[in-house]
Amino acid sequence: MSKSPKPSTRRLRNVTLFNDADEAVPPTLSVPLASIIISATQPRRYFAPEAMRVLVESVKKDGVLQPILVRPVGDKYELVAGERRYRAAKEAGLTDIPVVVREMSDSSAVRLALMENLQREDLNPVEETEGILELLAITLDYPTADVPLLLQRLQKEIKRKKLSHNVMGQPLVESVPPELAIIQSVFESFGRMSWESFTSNRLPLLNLPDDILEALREGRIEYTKAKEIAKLESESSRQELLEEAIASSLSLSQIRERVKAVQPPPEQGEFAARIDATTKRVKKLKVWENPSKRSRLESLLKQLEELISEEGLDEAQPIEEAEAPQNQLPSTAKSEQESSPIESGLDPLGSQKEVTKEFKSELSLPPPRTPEVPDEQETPSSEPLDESRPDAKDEPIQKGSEFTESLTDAEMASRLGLKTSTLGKAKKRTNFSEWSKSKDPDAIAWQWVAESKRFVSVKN
Amino acid sequence: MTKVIALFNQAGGVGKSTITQNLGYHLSLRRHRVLVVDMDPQASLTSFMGLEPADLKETIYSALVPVEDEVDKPLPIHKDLHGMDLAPANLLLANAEQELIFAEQREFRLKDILSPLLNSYDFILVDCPPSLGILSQISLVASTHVLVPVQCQYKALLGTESLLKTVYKVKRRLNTDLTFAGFLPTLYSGSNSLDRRTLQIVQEQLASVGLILPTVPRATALAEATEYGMPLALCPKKSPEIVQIFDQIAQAVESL
Repeated sequence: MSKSPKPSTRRLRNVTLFNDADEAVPPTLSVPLASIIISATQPRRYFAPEAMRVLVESVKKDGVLQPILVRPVGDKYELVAGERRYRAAKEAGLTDIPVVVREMSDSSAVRLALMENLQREDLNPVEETEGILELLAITLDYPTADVPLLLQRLQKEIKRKKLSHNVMGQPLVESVPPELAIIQSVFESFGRMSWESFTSNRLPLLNLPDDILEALREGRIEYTKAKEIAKLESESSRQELLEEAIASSLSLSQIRERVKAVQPPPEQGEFAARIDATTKRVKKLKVWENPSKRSRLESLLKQLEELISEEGLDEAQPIEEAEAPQNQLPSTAKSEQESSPIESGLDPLGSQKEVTKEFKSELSLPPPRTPEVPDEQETPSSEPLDESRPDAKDEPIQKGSEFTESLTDAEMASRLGLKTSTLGKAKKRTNFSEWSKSKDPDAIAWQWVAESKRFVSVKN
Repeated sequence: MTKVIALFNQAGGVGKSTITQNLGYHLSLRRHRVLVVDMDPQASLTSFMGLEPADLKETIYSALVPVEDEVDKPLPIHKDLHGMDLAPANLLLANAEQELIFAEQREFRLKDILSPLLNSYDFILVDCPPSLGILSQISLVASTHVLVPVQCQYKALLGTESLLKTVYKVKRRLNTDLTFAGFLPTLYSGSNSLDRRTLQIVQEQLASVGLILPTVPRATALAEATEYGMPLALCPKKSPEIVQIFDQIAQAVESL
């Protein structure tokens, strides 16, 4: 457990709501708009045009109700908080604006401006993340660009300590880095998330491509959708999809489909790399030790083995490389694979978490079930009935009766002149009909019907 | 003028009903006419006062949600239970949350019901439900003061922030006269360092908002008293220190 921050460092929010209502209200005065300057350190902020228009309307009608916060600089006032109100007043054509004047140092002015900004409830994730980084940078006196690295380093360090703590049974609190205490107090002060969650969930946000970040900043698109669109590597297609997603407010699943469609199929070389990486991961995680995964691993391996033996089975009829393995996966395994890090390759951290989580639950699970999957006991679900396949339309739907010819495994093997084991593997291939036609003495195309465990001839 | 005090905290189990009952009792000992009002569908206060909520035909619900075309019913009041009067509740009150949504001037429902009673009492204590919903809102609108029991736990502090905001909103729009009677640290255990630190935060930071009342410790005697269905001071196993603390609180509330 990481040490919790001293509660004494926590400042309760909303207390000031009542302090301001008391007699301790700082005097409000009205000053000419022209006497207000905007400092360069004012946090960059996007002002949604629509919200701005509404504010300007309201200012035109009622004036600026809530004073803006300024500090005296020479004979002028520098804006600390309330840039929206200031802009609205200007746009509404006011000459004066109510202000609260408070003396404060440069750094506390920036801090206050940032804090005020962060307290806003409509802040989008990008603005919030950038604001928090700036606030941390000021408080720690670090360059803003270095803060993410510091956070990541601290997180790693703590993870390591936690580990050694668990192993050695030593207390780990002695050497909390001084930065950590400051960071924790900053996060405590606006109480929206922990620094750990910020580091793992928010920092990656800033790695998104600039065009996506900009759209997020302007609140034109939701974070989940933006993340999906960001998967497109080509800038032009990304831009295109982004615009379309915003214009016709595509749903997340629509966006997913489009991303999938646009993304080019993986290169040949990638396969080798992916296979290597996958094998390594599987070994490292000892996936077979997890009872719930074991049987799936087994069937996946089996399919791989089948795939490989098919390659050598019939050189004259090469399998369409890119598609065959996909189509041959039983539907359950396929959906699983889609969400696996191996397949997506996009979210390795998140999925790994999932893997280890399931992996950990090993102890509470019943002993492994090692199913035998004999060829004869194919379940209908594992039989690929891909409707998009041209010959799929011609597949016999009713089994048996209306087909004069229906053969068992052994009969078919002898008809085609094959070993039953070879036939057992071959019959599951998607192009079995064509393949059997080429082998059949009468050039009849055959189809394996799992339900009846028989081969039937394909009409036409 | 009658002081209507809402005991409010959206967190459950912080001691609202216990405080309401005992504060009411000690105010009555100080010769004040006291009405305690149960606005919580869980009806803890009603059972602490020795009634069986499920058996009640008429509760505060009948007054809050009038049947159509019928004359508004007065608040049903049980007289002189341990020196005070009680407007009870039961689970039916939970329906009021929905039914009041469409009621006209719903924010003022409780205020309207209590207003004919103001001359009969010196103190009306309203035990709010542990939520930020309509029942709490109308309780705050009907009150002159809000008293906040705060459990000495870090989590409770976080809840206090949204509580402050809620009170502020009501004060700004619906009840400008609403003021804090104070914050009452409860369930305090001096041997727990977290409790000590939390108490310190309450004392340091909330003092600018309202009075910090004497701290009520975590005590078995208090939990037992609720079983007896009477104020702690009347229970066989009373704790003299805590009884004294309640009297101090009553004294502070008296001089509001």
